[in-house]
Amino acid sequence: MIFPHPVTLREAMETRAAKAILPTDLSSAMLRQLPRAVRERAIFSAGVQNVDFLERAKQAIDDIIAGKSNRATERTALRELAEKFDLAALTRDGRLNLILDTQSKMGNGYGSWIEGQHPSVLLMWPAQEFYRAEDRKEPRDWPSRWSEAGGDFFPGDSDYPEGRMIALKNDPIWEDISAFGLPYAPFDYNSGMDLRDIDRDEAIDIGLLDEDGMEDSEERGLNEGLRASVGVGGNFGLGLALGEFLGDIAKVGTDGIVRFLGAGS
Amino acid sequence: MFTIDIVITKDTATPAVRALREGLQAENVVPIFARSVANAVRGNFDDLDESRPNKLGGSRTHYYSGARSATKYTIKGDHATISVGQVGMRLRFYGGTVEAGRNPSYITGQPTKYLTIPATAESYGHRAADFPDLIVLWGNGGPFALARVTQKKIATAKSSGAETNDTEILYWLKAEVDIPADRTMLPSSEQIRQAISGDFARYVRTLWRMGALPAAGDIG
Repeated sequence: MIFPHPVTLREAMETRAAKAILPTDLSSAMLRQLPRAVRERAIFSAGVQNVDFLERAKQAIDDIIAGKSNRATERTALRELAEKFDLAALTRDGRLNLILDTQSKMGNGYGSWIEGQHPSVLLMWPAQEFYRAEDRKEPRDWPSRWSEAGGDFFPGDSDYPEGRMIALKNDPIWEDISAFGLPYAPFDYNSGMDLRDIDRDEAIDIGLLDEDGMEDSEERGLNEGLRASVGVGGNFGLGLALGEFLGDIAKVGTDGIVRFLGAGS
Repeated sequence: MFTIDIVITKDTATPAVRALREGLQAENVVPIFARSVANAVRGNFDDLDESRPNKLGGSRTHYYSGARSATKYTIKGDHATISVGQVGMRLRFYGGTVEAGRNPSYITGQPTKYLTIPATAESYGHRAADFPDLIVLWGNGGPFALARVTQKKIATAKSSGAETNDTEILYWLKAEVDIPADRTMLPSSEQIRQAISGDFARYVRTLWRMGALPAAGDIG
Protein backbone atom coordinates (compact mmCIF):
# COMPACT_ATOMS: atom_id res chain seq x y z
CA MET A 1 0.00 0.00 0.00
CA ILE A 2 1.04 3.60 -0.49
CA PHE A 3 0.82 5.87 2.54
CA PRO A 4 -0.61 9.33 1.82
CA HIS A 5 1.20 10.76 4.84
CA PRO A 6 4.88 11.18 5.73
CA VAL A 7 6.65 8.42 7.65
CA THR A 8 9.89 8.67 9.58
CA LEU A 9 13.12 7.77 7.85
CA ARG A 10 14.65 5.90 10.72
CA GLU A 11 18.23 5.32 9.65
CA ALA A 12 18.71 8.66 8.00
CA MET A 13 17.30 10.45 11.00
CA GLU A 14 19.29 8.39 13.46
CA THR A 15 22.49 9.58 11.93
CA ARG A 16 21.26 13.14 12.22
CA ALA A 17 20.40 12.61 15.87
CA ALA A 18 23.95 11.47 16.46
CA LYS A 19 25.40 14.63 14.97
CA ALA A 20 26.71 17.56 16.89
CA ILE A 21 27.44 21.01 15.59
CA LEU A 22 31.08 21.92 15.38
CA PRO A 23 31.89 25.62 15.31
CA THR A 24 35.34 26.00 13.79
CA ASP A 25 37.78 28.33 12.10
CA LEU A 26 39.20 25.49 9.99
CA SER A 27 39.23 25.80 6.20
CA SER A 28 37.79 23.12 3.90
CA ALA A 29 41.26 21.67 3.32
CA MET A 30 41.92 21.50 7.05
CA LEU A 31 38.53 19.98 7.73
CA ARG A 32 39.40 17.17 5.32
CA GLN A 33 42.30 16.27 7.60
CA LEU A 34 40.04 15.69 10.57
CA PRO A 35 39.53 12.04 11.44
CA ARG A 36 36.56 10.33 9.86
CA ALA A 37 34.92 9.87 13.25
CA VAL A 38 34.68 13.64 13.59
CA ARG A 39 33.72 14.42 9.98
CA GLU A 40 30.99 11.82 10.05
CA ARG A 41 29.42 12.96 13.26
CA ALA A 42 29.60 16.70 13.27
CA ILE A 43 27.82 19.48 11.42
CA PHE A 44 30.35 22.09 10.41
CA SER A 45 31.20 24.48 7.65
CA ALA A 46 34.61 25.90 6.95
CA GLY A 47 35.29 28.95 9.07
CA VAL A 48 31.83 29.08 10.63
CA GLN A 49 32.05 29.69 14.37
CA ASN A 50 28.54 30.98 14.97
CA VAL A 51 26.72 28.43 17.12
CA ASP A 52 23.24 29.85 16.47
CA PHE A 53 23.75 29.67 12.73
CA LEU A 54 25.00 26.08 12.90
CA GLU A 55 22.10 25.10 15.13
CA ARG A 56 19.65 26.51 12.62
CA ALA A 57 21.53 24.83 9.77
CA LYS A 58 21.29 21.48 11.55
CA GLN A 59 17.55 21.96 11.90
CA ALA A 60 17.30 22.86 8.23
CA ILE A 61 19.20 19.73 7.21
CA ASP A 62 17.06 17.55 9.47
CA ASP A 63 13.91 19.00 7.91
CA ILE A 64 15.19 18.48 4.38
CA ILE A 65 16.12 14.85 5.08
CA ALA A 66 12.74 14.23 6.73
CA GLY A 67 10.98 15.67 3.68
CA LYS A 68 9.45 18.48 5.74
CA SER A 69 11.14 21.31 3.88
CA ASN A 70 13.15 22.01 0.76
CA ARG A 71 16.45 23.62 -0.04
CA ALA A 72 15.07 26.90 -1.38
CA THR A 73 13.00 27.51 1.74
CA GLU A 74 15.80 26.68 4.15
CA ARG A 75 18.36 28.63 2.15
CA THR A 76 16.22 31.76 2.40
CA ALA A 77 15.83 31.33 6.15
CA LEU A 78 19.55 30.74 6.67
CA ARG A 79 20.48 33.74 4.57
CA GLU A 80 18.27 35.95 6.69
CA LEU A 81 19.96 34.58 9.78
CA ALA A 82 23.41 35.12 8.28
CA GLU A 83 22.51 38.72 7.48
CA LYS A 84 21.29 39.21 11.02
CA PHE A 85 24.60 37.91 12.41
CA ASP A 86 26.58 39.83 9.80
CA LEU A 87 28.08 36.63 8.37
CA ALA A 88 28.72 37.97 4.89
CA ALA A 89 30.26 34.77 3.50
CA LEU A 90 27.13 32.83 4.41
CA THR A 91 24.70 35.07 2.56
CA ARG A 92 25.68 33.67 -0.84
CA ASP A 93 23.42 31.07 -2.44
CA GLY A 94 26.33 28.91 -3.52
CA ARG A 95 27.76 28.62 -0.02
CA LEU A 96 24.37 27.92 1.55
CA ASN A 97 23.54 25.34 -1.11
CA LEU A 98 26.87 23.70 -0.41
CA ILE A 99 26.12 23.37 3.29
CA LEU A 100 22.57 22.13 2.82
CA ASP A 101 23.29 19.78 -0.08
CA THR A 102 26.45 18.23 1.31
CA GLN A 103 25.02 17.52 4.73
CA SER A 104 21.59 16.32 3.61
CA LYS A 105 23.16 14.06 0.98
CA MET A 106 25.50 12.67 3.61
CA GLY A 107 22.51 11.80 5.78
CA ASN A 108 20.82 10.04 2.88
CA GLY A 109 24.08 8.41 1.79
CA TYR A 110 24.70 7.01 5.23
CA GLY A 111 21.15 5.64 5.40
CA SER A 112 21.54 3.86 2.07
CA TRP A 113 24.99 2.58 3.02
CA ILE A 114 23.82 1.02 6.24
CA GLU A 115 20.81 -0.56 4.52
CA GLY A 116 23.22 -2.13 2.05
CA GLN A 117 25.31 -3.69 4.82
CA HIS A 118 22.57 -6.07 5.89
CA PRO A 119 23.92 -9.62 5.31
CA SER A 120 21.17 -10.77 2.95
CA VAL A 121 21.19 -7.48 1.02
CA LEU A 122 24.97 -7.68 0.73
CA LEU A 123 24.64 -11.23 -0.55
CA MET A 124 22.27 -10.18 -3.32
CA TRP A 125 23.79 -6.77 -4.16
CA PRO A 126 27.48 -7.13 -3.27
CA ALA A 127 28.74 -4.39 -5.57
CA GLN A 128 27.82 -0.87 -6.62
CA GLU A 129 28.35 1.40 -9.59
CA PHE A 130 29.66 4.93 -9.31
CA TYR A 131 27.72 6.87 -11.90
CA ARG A 132 26.77 10.39 -12.90
CA ALA A 133 23.31 10.98 -11.51
CA GLU A 134 23.28 14.75 -12.12
CA ASP A 135 25.04 16.74 -14.80
CA ARG A 136 27.37 19.57 -13.86
CA LYS A 137 28.70 22.54 -15.79
CA GLU A 138 32.26 21.62 -14.91
CA PRO A 139 32.33 17.91 -14.10
CA ARG A 140 35.36 16.56 -12.26
CA ASP A 141 37.61 14.02 -13.89
CA TRP A 142 36.28 11.11 -11.88
CA PRO A 143 37.71 8.37 -14.10
CA SER A 144 41.21 9.65 -13.31
CA ARG A 145 40.52 9.71 -9.61
CA TRP A 146 39.00 6.24 -9.87
CA SER A 147 41.95 4.90 -11.82
CA GLU A 148 44.50 6.45 -9.46
CA ALA A 149 42.73 4.74 -6.56
CA GLY A 150 43.17 1.39 -8.32
CA GLY A 151 39.64 1.10 -9.71
CA ASP A 152 38.80 -1.01 -12.75
CA PHE A 153 36.55 -0.02 -15.61
CA PHE A 154 33.93 -2.31 -17.07
CA PRO A 155 32.20 -2.33 -20.43
CA GLY A 156 28.61 -1.19 -20.74
CA ASP A 157 26.49 1.94 -20.86
CA SER A 158 28.39 4.76 -19.16
CA ASP A 159 28.78 8.52 -19.26
CA TYR A 160 32.51 7.98 -19.49
CA PRO A 161 34.48 6.55 -22.44
CA GLU A 162 36.71 4.71 -19.96
CA GLY A 163 33.75 2.54 -19.00
CA ARG A 164 31.65 1.81 -15.94
CA MET A 165 33.14 2.30 -12.50
CA ILE A 166 32.09 -0.65 -10.36
CA ALA A 167 33.56 -2.19 -7.21
CA LEU A 168 32.48 -4.35 -4.31
CA LYS A 169 30.62 -2.38 -1.65
CA ASN A 170 33.26 -2.83 1.01
CA ASP A 171 36.22 -2.21 -1.27
CA PRO A 172 38.48 0.51 0.22
CA ILE A 173 38.28 2.40 -3.06
CA TRP A 174 35.10 4.15 -1.94
CA GLU A 175 36.84 5.88 0.94
CA ASP A 176 39.89 6.54 -1.25
CA ILE A 177 37.98 8.47 -3.90
CA SER A 178 35.90 10.39 -1.36
CA ALA A 179 37.00 13.90 -0.45
CA PHE A 180 35.44 13.18 2.93
CA GLY A 181 36.98 9.73 3.38
CA LEU A 182 33.54 8.16 3.63
CA PRO A 183 32.30 5.11 1.70
CA TYR A 184 29.04 6.70 0.61
CA ALA A 185 27.78 9.66 -1.40
CA PRO A 186 28.43 12.51 -1.74
CA PHE A 187 32.04 11.92 -2.74
CA ASP A 188 32.96 15.57 -3.04
CA TYR A 189 31.47 19.05 -2.71
CA ASN A 190 28.73 19.75 -5.26
CA SER A 191 29.31 16.36 -6.85
CA GLY A 192 26.66 14.94 -9.17
CA MET A 193 27.97 11.39 -8.77
CA ASP A 194 26.06 8.74 -6.89
CA LEU A 195 25.87 4.98 -6.32
CA ARG A 196 23.53 2.27 -7.51
CA ASP A 197 23.39 -1.40 -6.62
CA ILE A 198 24.95 -4.06 -8.82
CA ASP A 199 23.37 -7.44 -8.23
CA ARG A 200 25.19 -10.66 -7.55
CA ASP A 201 24.73 -12.15 -11.03
CA GLU A 202 26.23 -9.11 -12.70
CA ALA A 203 29.08 -8.90 -10.18
CA ILE A 204 29.94 -12.52 -11.03
CA ASP A 205 29.55 -11.92 -14.77
CA ILE A 206 32.06 -9.07 -14.79
CA GLY A 207 34.51 -10.97 -12.63
CA LEU A 208 34.25 -9.00 -9.40
CA LEU A 209 33.08 -12.00 -7.42
CA ASP A 210 33.46 -15.78 -7.62
CA GLU A 211 30.29 -17.80 -7.78
CA ASP A 212 30.85 -18.84 -4.19
CA GLY A 213 32.20 -15.51 -3.04
CA MET A 214 30.51 -13.23 -0.58
CA GLU A 215 31.20 -9.99 1.16
CA ASP A 216 31.15 -9.73 4.93
CA SER A 217 29.19 -6.87 6.39
CA GLU A 218 31.52 -4.12 7.42
CA GLU A 219 31.98 -3.80 11.15
CA ARG A 220 31.67 -0.11 11.59
CA GLY A 221 29.23 1.35 14.01
CA LEU A 222 28.81 4.82 15.30
CA ASN A 223 31.22 5.52 18.10
CA GLU A 224 29.01 5.06 21.10
CA GLY A 225 31.17 7.16 23.40
CA LEU A 226 31.07 10.05 20.98
CA ARG A 227 27.37 9.64 20.39
CA ALA A 228 26.73 9.90 24.12
CA SER A 229 28.88 12.95 24.51
CA VAL A 230 27.81 15.11 21.63
CA GLY A 231 25.84 18.22 22.23
CA VAL A 232 25.95 21.73 20.89
CA GLY A 233 28.88 24.03 20.36
CA GLY A 234 30.33 25.25 23.62
CA ASN A 235 29.45 21.92 25.18
CA PHE A 236 32.62 20.74 26.87
CA GLY A 237 31.48 17.13 26.66
CA LEU A 238 31.71 17.50 22.92
CA GLY A 239 35.11 19.06 23.25
CA LEU A 240 36.41 16.23 25.38
CA ALA A 241 34.92 13.65 23.05
CA LEU A 242 36.40 15.26 19.98
CA GLY A 243 39.73 16.03 21.57
CA GLU A 244 41.04 12.50 21.33
CA PHE A 245 40.28 12.44 17.59
CA LEU A 246 41.66 15.82 16.67
CA GLY A 247 45.26 14.89 17.41
CA ASP A 248 47.66 17.69 16.59
CA ILE A 249 45.52 19.16 13.81
CA ALA A 250 43.20 21.25 15.90
CA LYS A 251 41.95 21.74 19.42
CA VAL A 252 38.67 22.59 21.07
CA GLY A 253 38.85 25.88 22.91
CA THR A 254 37.14 26.69 26.19
CA ASP A 255 34.50 28.48 24.12
CA GLY A 256 33.74 25.22 22.27
CA ILE A 257 35.21 26.41 18.97
CA VAL A 258 37.53 24.07 17.10
CA ARG A 259 40.65 25.94 15.96
CA PHE A 260 43.53 25.01 13.72
CA LEU A 261 46.76 24.50 15.62
CA GLY A 262 48.99 25.43 12.72
CA ALA A 263 51.91 23.63 11.10
CA GLY A 264 54.41 22.14 13.50
CA SER A 265 52.23 22.58 16.55
CA MET B 1 9.91 -58.32 0.89
CA PHE B 2 11.43 -55.58 -1.16
CA THR B 3 13.62 -52.98 0.57
CA ILE B 4 15.85 -50.15 -0.56
CA ASP B 5 18.79 -49.04 1.51
CA ILE B 6 19.88 -45.43 1.04
CA VAL B 7 23.36 -44.60 2.15
CA ILE B 8 24.32 -40.95 2.27
CA THR B 9 28.02 -40.65 1.79
CA LYS B 10 28.12 -36.87 1.65
CA ASP B 11 25.41 -34.62 2.97
CA THR B 12 25.13 -31.66 0.58
CA ALA B 13 21.49 -30.97 1.22
CA THR B 14 21.50 -30.16 4.91
CA PRO B 15 23.66 -26.98 4.71
CA ALA B 16 21.53 -25.68 1.86
CA VAL B 17 18.30 -26.45 3.69
CA ARG B 18 19.67 -24.78 6.78
CA ALA B 19 20.68 -21.73 4.76
CA LEU B 20 17.25 -21.57 3.20
CA ARG B 21 15.57 -21.84 6.56
CA GLU B 22 17.72 -19.07 7.99
CA GLY B 23 17.61 -16.97 4.87
CA LEU B 24 13.85 -17.07 4.65
CA GLN B 25 13.36 -15.75 8.16
CA ALA B 26 11.65 -12.37 8.10
CA GLU B 27 14.76 -10.61 9.40
CA ASN B 28 16.67 -11.73 6.30
CA VAL B 29 14.07 -11.86 3.56
CA VAL B 30 12.19 -8.62 4.28
CA PRO B 31 15.32 -6.54 3.60
CA ILE B 32 15.55 -8.28 0.20
CA PHE B 33 11.99 -7.25 -0.65
CA ALA B 34 12.60 -3.74 0.67
CA ARG B 35 15.84 -3.24 -1.26
CA SER B 36 14.23 -4.65 -4.38
CA VAL B 37 11.34 -2.19 -4.27
CA ALA B 38 13.58 0.70 -3.23
CA ASN B 39 15.89 0.00 -6.18
CA ALA B 40 12.92 -0.06 -8.55
CA VAL B 41 11.72 3.28 -7.15
CA ARG B 42 15.23 4.77 -7.34
CA GLY B 43 15.65 3.58 -10.93
CA ASN B 44 12.34 5.18 -11.86
CA PHE B 45 13.49 8.50 -10.37
CA ASP B 46 16.74 8.26 -12.35
CA ASP B 47 14.71 7.85 -15.53
CA LEU B 48 12.48 10.81 -14.63
CA ASP B 49 15.47 13.01 -13.83
CA GLU B 50 16.94 12.29 -17.23
CA SER B 51 13.71 12.71 -19.18
CA ARG B 52 12.24 15.73 -17.37
CA PRO B 53 14.54 18.74 -17.28
CA ASN B 54 12.81 21.88 -15.98
CA LYS B 55 10.75 23.56 -18.69
CA LEU B 56 12.20 27.01 -18.06
CA GLY B 57 15.78 25.95 -18.73
CA GLY B 58 18.67 27.29 -16.70
CA SER B 59 20.25 25.53 -13.75
CA ARG B 60 18.54 22.31 -12.87
CA THR B 61 17.53 21.50 -9.33
CA HIS B 62 17.52 17.77 -10.16
CA TYR B 63 14.35 17.27 -8.19
CA TYR B 64 13.98 13.62 -9.18
CA SER B 65 17.60 12.82 -8.49
CA GLY B 66 17.04 14.29 -5.04
CA ALA B 67 14.01 12.06 -4.66
CA ARG B 68 16.13 9.05 -5.56
CA SER B 69 18.70 9.95 -2.89
CA ALA B 70 15.89 10.45 -0.40
CA THR B 71 14.35 7.01 -1.06
CA LYS B 72 14.78 4.86 2.04
CA TYR B 73 13.14 1.96 3.73
CA THR B 74 12.27 1.13 7.30
CA ILE B 75 11.78 -2.45 8.42
CA LYS B 76 9.59 -3.43 11.33
CA GLY B 77 9.19 -7.14 11.93
CA ASP B 78 7.74 -8.73 8.84
CA HIS B 79 7.01 -5.63 6.83
CA ALA B 80 8.91 -2.78 5.25
CA THR B 81 7.96 0.79 4.45
CA ILE B 82 9.56 2.56 1.52
CA SER B 83 9.75 6.33 1.98
CA VAL B 84 10.70 9.23 -0.25
CA GLY B 85 11.75 12.16 1.92
CA GLN B 86 11.29 14.87 -0.67
CA VAL B 87 8.90 17.81 -0.40
CA GLY B 88 6.21 17.72 -3.10
CA MET B 89 6.30 13.99 -3.83
CA ARG B 90 2.90 13.27 -2.34
CA LEU B 91 1.32 16.19 -4.18
CA ARG B 92 2.79 15.12 -7.50
CA PHE B 93 1.74 11.51 -7.09
CA TYR B 94 -1.82 12.10 -5.89
CA GLY B 95 -2.38 15.50 -7.44
CA GLY B 96 -4.41 18.20 -5.74
CA THR B 97 -4.95 21.88 -5.30
CA VAL B 98 -2.32 24.02 -3.64
CA GLU B 99 -3.73 27.11 -2.01
CA ALA B 100 -1.96 30.20 -0.73
CA GLY B 101 -2.20 30.99 2.94
CA ARG B 102 -0.70 27.83 4.39
CA ASN B 103 2.68 29.34 5.14
CA PRO B 104 3.71 32.75 6.45
CA SER B 105 5.09 35.30 4.04
CA TYR B 106 8.82 35.97 4.36
CA ILE B 107 8.10 39.65 3.90
CA THR B 108 5.11 40.29 6.16
CA GLY B 109 5.06 37.24 8.43
CA GLN B 110 1.34 36.98 7.69
CA PRO B 111 -0.21 34.03 5.82
CA THR B 112 0.60 34.27 2.13
CA LYS B 113 -2.11 35.51 -0.21
CA TYR B 114 -0.53 34.24 -3.39
CA LEU B 115 1.62 31.39 -4.58
CA THR B 116 4.69 32.48 -6.51
CA ILE B 117 5.14 30.50 -9.72
CA PRO B 118 8.58 30.88 -11.33
CA ALA B 119 8.39 32.55 -14.72
CA THR B 120 12.06 32.47 -15.74
CA ALA B 121 15.04 30.17 -15.54
CA GLU B 122 16.60 32.59 -13.06
CA SER B 123 13.74 32.41 -10.60
CA TYR B 124 13.34 28.64 -10.88
CA GLY B 125 14.57 26.94 -7.70
CA HIS B 126 14.45 30.20 -5.75
CA ARG B 127 11.96 31.87 -3.49
CA ALA B 128 10.70 35.35 -4.26
CA ALA B 129 12.37 36.54 -1.06
CA ASP B 130 15.70 35.77 -2.72
CA PHE B 131 15.11 38.80 -4.99
CA PRO B 132 14.91 41.93 -2.83
CA ASP B 133 14.18 44.28 -5.76
CA LEU B 134 10.88 42.82 -6.92
CA ILE B 135 7.80 44.95 -7.46
CA VAL B 136 4.18 43.86 -7.67
CA LEU B 137 2.45 44.22 -11.02
CA TRP B 138 -1.24 44.99 -10.89
CA GLY B 139 -3.91 44.23 -13.45
CA ASN B 140 -7.66 44.65 -13.54
CA GLY B 141 -8.12 41.60 -11.32
CA GLY B 142 -5.52 42.68 -8.77
CA PRO B 143 -1.84 41.71 -8.43
CA PHE B 144 -0.74 39.18 -11.01
CA ALA B 145 3.05 39.05 -11.05
CA LEU B 146 6.30 39.94 -9.29
CA ALA B 147 8.77 41.68 -11.54
CA ARG B 148 12.14 43.33 -11.55
CA VAL B 149 12.53 46.81 -12.95
CA THR B 150 14.97 46.66 -15.82
CA GLN B 151 14.72 50.29 -16.92
CA LYS B 152 13.09 53.26 -15.21
CA LYS B 153 11.28 55.75 -17.36
CA ILE B 154 10.19 59.17 -16.26
CA ALA B 155 6.69 60.58 -16.63
CA THR B 156 6.01 62.10 -20.01
CA ALA B 157 3.10 63.70 -21.79
CA LYS B 158 2.75 60.53 -23.83
CA SER B 159 2.32 58.50 -20.64
CA SER B 160 -0.22 61.01 -19.39
CA GLY B 161 2.08 62.08 -16.64
CA ALA B 162 2.48 58.57 -15.17
CA GLU B 163 5.86 56.93 -14.51
CA THR B 164 6.36 53.79 -16.55
CA ASN B 165 9.00 51.12 -16.14
CA ASP B 166 10.31 48.28 -18.25
CA THR B 167 10.00 45.15 -16.18
CA GLU B 168 10.95 41.52 -16.29
CA ILE B 169 8.42 39.17 -14.72
CA LEU B 170 10.10 36.65 -12.44
CA TYR B 171 7.02 35.15 -10.75
CA TRP B 172 3.37 34.78 -11.57
CA LEU B 173 1.02 35.20 -8.64
CA LYS B 174 -1.74 32.64 -8.24
CA ALA B 175 -4.22 32.18 -5.40
CA GLU B 176 -4.20 28.45 -6.09
CA VAL B 177 -2.73 25.95 -8.50
CA ASP B 178 -4.09 22.58 -9.57
CA ILE B 179 -1.51 19.83 -9.83
CA PRO B 180 -2.62 16.78 -11.83
CA ALA B 181 -1.96 13.34 -10.36
CA ASP B 182 1.10 11.69 -11.86
CA ARG B 183 1.22 7.98 -11.13
CA THR B 184 4.40 7.59 -13.19
CA MET B 185 6.28 9.06 -10.24
CA LEU B 186 6.50 5.51 -8.94
CA PRO B 187 6.98 2.26 -10.85
CA SER B 188 3.75 0.46 -11.71
CA SER B 189 2.48 -2.35 -9.48
CA GLU B 190 3.47 -4.79 -12.20
CA GLN B 191 7.00 -3.41 -12.36
CA ILE B 192 7.31 -3.70 -8.59
CA ARG B 193 5.92 -7.23 -8.63
CA GLN B 194 8.39 -8.26 -11.30
CA ALA B 195 11.31 -6.70 -9.41
CA ILE B 196 10.39 -8.50 -6.19
CA SER B 197 9.70 -11.88 -7.79
CA GLY B 198 12.90 -11.76 -9.84
CA ASP B 199 15.09 -10.73 -6.91
CA PHE B 200 13.44 -13.21 -4.56
CA ALA B 201 13.97 -16.09 -7.01
CA ARG B 202 17.65 -15.14 -7.35
CA TYR B 203 17.96 -14.88 -3.59
CA VAL B 204 16.57 -18.38 -3.00
CA ARG B 205 18.77 -19.79 -5.76
CA THR B 206 21.81 -18.11 -4.21
CA LEU B 207 21.01 -19.40 -0.73
CA TRP B 208 20.62 -22.91 -2.07
CA ARG B 209 23.90 -22.70 -3.92
CA MET B 210 25.91 -20.99 -1.21
CA GLY B 211 24.51 -22.86 1.75
CA ALA B 212 25.09 -19.85 4.00
CA LEU B 213 24.51 -16.18 4.53
CA PRO B 214 27.46 -13.82 4.88
CA ALA B 215 28.77 -13.35 8.38
CA ALA B 216 26.76 -10.67 10.08
CA GLY B 217 29.07 -8.05 11.49
CA ASP B 218 28.10 -5.23 13.77
CA ILE B 219 26.34 -3.04 11.28
CA GLY B 220 25.09 -0.52 13.83
